[in-house]
Amino acid sequence: MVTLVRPANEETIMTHHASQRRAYLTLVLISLFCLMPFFWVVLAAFDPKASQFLQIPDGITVNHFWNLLANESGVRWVLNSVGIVGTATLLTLILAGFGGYALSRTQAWWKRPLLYAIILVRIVPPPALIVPVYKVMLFLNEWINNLINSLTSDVAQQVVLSRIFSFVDGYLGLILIQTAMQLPLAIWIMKTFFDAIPKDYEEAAALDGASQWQTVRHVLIPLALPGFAAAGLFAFINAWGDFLMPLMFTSSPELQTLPLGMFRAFLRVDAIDYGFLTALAVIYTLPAVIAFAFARKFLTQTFSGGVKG
Amino acid sequence: MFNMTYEARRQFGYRIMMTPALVLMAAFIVFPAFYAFSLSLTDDALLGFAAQESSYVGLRNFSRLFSDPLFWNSLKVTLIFVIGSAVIGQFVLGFASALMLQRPVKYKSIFNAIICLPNAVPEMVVGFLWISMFASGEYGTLNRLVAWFGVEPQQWLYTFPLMSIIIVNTWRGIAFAMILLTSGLASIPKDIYEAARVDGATDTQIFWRITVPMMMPTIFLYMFISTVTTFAIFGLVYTLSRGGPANSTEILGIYIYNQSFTAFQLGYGAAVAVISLVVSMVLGIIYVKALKVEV
Amino acid sequence: MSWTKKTLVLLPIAAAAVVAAIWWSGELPSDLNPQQTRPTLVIAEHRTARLQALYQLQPKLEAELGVRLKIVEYPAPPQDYFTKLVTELRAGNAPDVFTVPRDLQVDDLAAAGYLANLTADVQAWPGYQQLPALVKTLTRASFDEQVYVVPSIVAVEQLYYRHDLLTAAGISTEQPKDWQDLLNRSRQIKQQMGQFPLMIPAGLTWGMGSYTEGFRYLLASFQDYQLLSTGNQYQLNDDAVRQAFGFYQTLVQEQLTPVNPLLNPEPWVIPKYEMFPKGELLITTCGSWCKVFDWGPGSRNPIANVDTSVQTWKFPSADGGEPFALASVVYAWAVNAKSRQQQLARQLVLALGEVDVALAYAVKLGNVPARLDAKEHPDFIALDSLMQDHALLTETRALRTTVGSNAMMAGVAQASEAVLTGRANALQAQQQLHDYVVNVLGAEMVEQQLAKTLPLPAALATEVEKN
Repeated sequence: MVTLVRPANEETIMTHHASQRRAYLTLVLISLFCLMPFFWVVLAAFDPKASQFLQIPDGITVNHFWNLLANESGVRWVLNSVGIVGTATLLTLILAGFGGYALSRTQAWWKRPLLYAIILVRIVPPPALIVPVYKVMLFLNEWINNLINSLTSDVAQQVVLSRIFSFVDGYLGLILIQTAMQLPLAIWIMKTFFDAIPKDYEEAAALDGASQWQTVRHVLIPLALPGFAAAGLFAFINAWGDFLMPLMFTSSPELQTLPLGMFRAFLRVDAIDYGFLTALAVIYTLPAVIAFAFARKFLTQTFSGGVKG
Repeated sequence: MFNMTYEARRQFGYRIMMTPALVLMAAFIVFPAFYAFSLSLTDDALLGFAAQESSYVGLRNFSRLFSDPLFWNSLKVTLIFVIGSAVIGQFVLGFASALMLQRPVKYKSIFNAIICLPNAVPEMVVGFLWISMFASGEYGTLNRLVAWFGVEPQQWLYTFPLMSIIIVNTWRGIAFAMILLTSGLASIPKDIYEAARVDGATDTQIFWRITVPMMMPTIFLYMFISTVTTFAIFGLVYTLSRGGPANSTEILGIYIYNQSFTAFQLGYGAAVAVISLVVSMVLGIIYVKALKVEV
Repeated sequence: MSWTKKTLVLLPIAAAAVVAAIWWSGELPSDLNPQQTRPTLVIAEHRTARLQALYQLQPKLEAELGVRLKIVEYPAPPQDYFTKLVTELRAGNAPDVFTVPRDLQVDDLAAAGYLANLTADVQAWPGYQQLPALVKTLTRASFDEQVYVVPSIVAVEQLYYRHDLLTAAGISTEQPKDWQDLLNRSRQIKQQMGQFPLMIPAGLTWGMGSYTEGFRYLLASFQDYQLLSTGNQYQLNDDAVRQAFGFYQTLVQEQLTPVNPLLNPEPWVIPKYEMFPKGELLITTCGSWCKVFDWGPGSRNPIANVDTSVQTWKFPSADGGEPFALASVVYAWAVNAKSRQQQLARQLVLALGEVDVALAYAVKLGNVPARLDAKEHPDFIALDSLMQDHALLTETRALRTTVGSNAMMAGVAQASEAVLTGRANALQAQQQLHDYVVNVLGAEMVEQQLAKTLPLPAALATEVEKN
């Protein structure tokens, strides 16, 4: 028996080794494919003579990053992105928190249709919406600017107010459209998490004499915290990386966010500053990568909704 | 309000809580989706007299659409793009990564992180990175790579435009396929494998007879999700090639944009959008029905 | 909550507060500066060369008008520039003053109500009298004959040929008298030199250039043909259109033009920047900028002694008329109809229509000033060889277009592609153009009545026609 088993064992060990080698080879090749494009951007961001081509820098410089700070537009783009995406994420969380909770708890007739509707809404391809959304935004824009002009006749104030509240080329419009785009997924995630919190907890708290607000603050929010984290991270990642909505709804340089600023700087075909752009790309990518690292473990939980985050 | 029962009040409260989110989604997604249908029946435009006052033109936009070679080209390009990158590229590489990471290999988390990295990169940066990869001339990264195999420098985005964007989207989506398929693999009971091994099944047999059939629901889920998301891509291709050269990468999203905002024909753009909406809704309804999604 | 949890929550909030503070602080001072008493005019400009010219002129313009000019840089590629401009005009947040890249875009912008009517302003402005009649026509919208733009510079376009190579080959470099003469010269070049003689832009990938740099010459070759009917519709049933496609057909059939490069993406690169400098293409249509940007010392493939080795012919007529050069009013200045500073903006565009401004731009861009009195300006000499082009201004031709020029040009691109690939003959191409424009713009925009017909298409193609 022993003699019979041993060669078999060696054989499996052999094939085991071979298949391990195959596994490593596959993984290394795929990883190289994934990493390849990053070498250039990382090297060029620190290369005093950055160009379009991958090259080993002669020296290392952080000047490109200082230029970002010194160059007003670079800072502006970063702050605009942080401001718009941050506000949109926060708004998404609040609305999705309420919406997800209601969807999870209600037994009303509208629950099922609404859940199916949310799946379908998530499938709508954003490029198919650009024309009608543009018309909607134009309509709202005209309305709000008329309102602003009737509130104040001071041109300087009008300019500032319309920069903030305009739907086209204003902060409010971008924030709202980004929020709307992130809501379906966020509601779905929140609903899933609230489903996992037994209703008894709330009822017990209510019986103990806790007010509605206390129940929410001390029972619901802490328990749903992972849900908020997941919903917030996905909303942030998607809104941060979105290119279409900024392309459609920003035009003035003061309002430009990172993706559009980069794109327009890249369109300066006769004078592209690769050092500036690669440094900017690094800055732009880092928050997304960090958020993704945190969000990764939630990723599978979003699949039930049918569409990836 | 005070006359309501406790339950009725609560139900009322749920509706209130639901409302703000619904209003936003209705205003910016649902209403526009329906509005696209009515816009597609007009000659609305950003230039000319129609910009001031558009008029109803019936199905003219659609009759133009179906005789427009650029529209058919765009549909074809979209189909090849979806099949090439989502159905084949991402799936094969993602499945391979998922399978290999099932094995007892070292540095799992490092491989995992590296494969996930492209997925985290914003679309604009993806375009930017790959424009450098594909740069023509002998110093372009890809050209230097293929030079090792004795291939002449190529103008990748010019000579193989559609292939190029397929490669880029594959690159970006491996992680998603890997993560989803890993979760599918993890749900296959281990004892089935052991039983098969005891019966003397080879690795290949195990893969085709056990893994693949057991994975079918996950694979379907993956195919649906990736098809729908790839169908909706815009920024990735726009930043890379803007649909060019010569419309060779003009996927549906970019065709809509170009017709609406570079040819300034909103009505016609809306007609294309209607086609795109119908296709994705049909996909969505099939999915909801077929998988009977648990809600 | 524990302390650590609290910090976890408070830290991001504090960070967000700091960011928000910086964000808004950056917003306010620039717009609410109380010391700022002079009104601000926003002006859009793009491309490095044009921006440089404007920055140079800025202090003078500001002093002259008592305003602050806020120059906003727009994307460089023409399509991106135009898209950004049009969407802003529609949304009502466009700059006060901007340029309209080509004259044939004026009608579409004016019809949409984006442009301020400048008729009264230019009539009271001495500079307007200095414009050639054709340029004046091109500043007016075809549907109401009102003036909507103030022209500054003009591109003069004609045939550019390799004088050095033709002379060396002993081929005549005299001005071709008519289409037949040009075709015969081309056949001779092909026979003797074995190279492609003539390139006139066409095809899908050349986009609107297939019309502006190609088809337009052929249509303008007929003195009594107008692209617009008196009813302001596109006249596409006219025999001139068929003959124009017939010219392409002849070039393709007799292999007088390099067809393959024209089917490529970026079709201009190979014929203009590679074949022409190498002498593999001898004649091409081009404009006043070509000797600077396309083949000048700073270009990618410079031609040695470009001023003498490349010379120009006017484009020959098809109907016995005089040979001619084409004119396009490029980058004319316009005022946003919704500008909050109408009066100042109008003053600014008139100031931008002055000769010194035009000269500053013309020199940088390789165009000529639109105004005839430019030649009295001391800086005129800086134009160098462009001075000859300026002298042509009074005798140039152009075709008026109306609303929907975009669709008309797209139709020309598609139909000429069909001729290039041999899928259509001249008559079919004409039909295709007609159908496309009807399909896009509606039948009411196309003259339906058939104009005169000649028995044979492409008169030029056959010697029979001559006899």
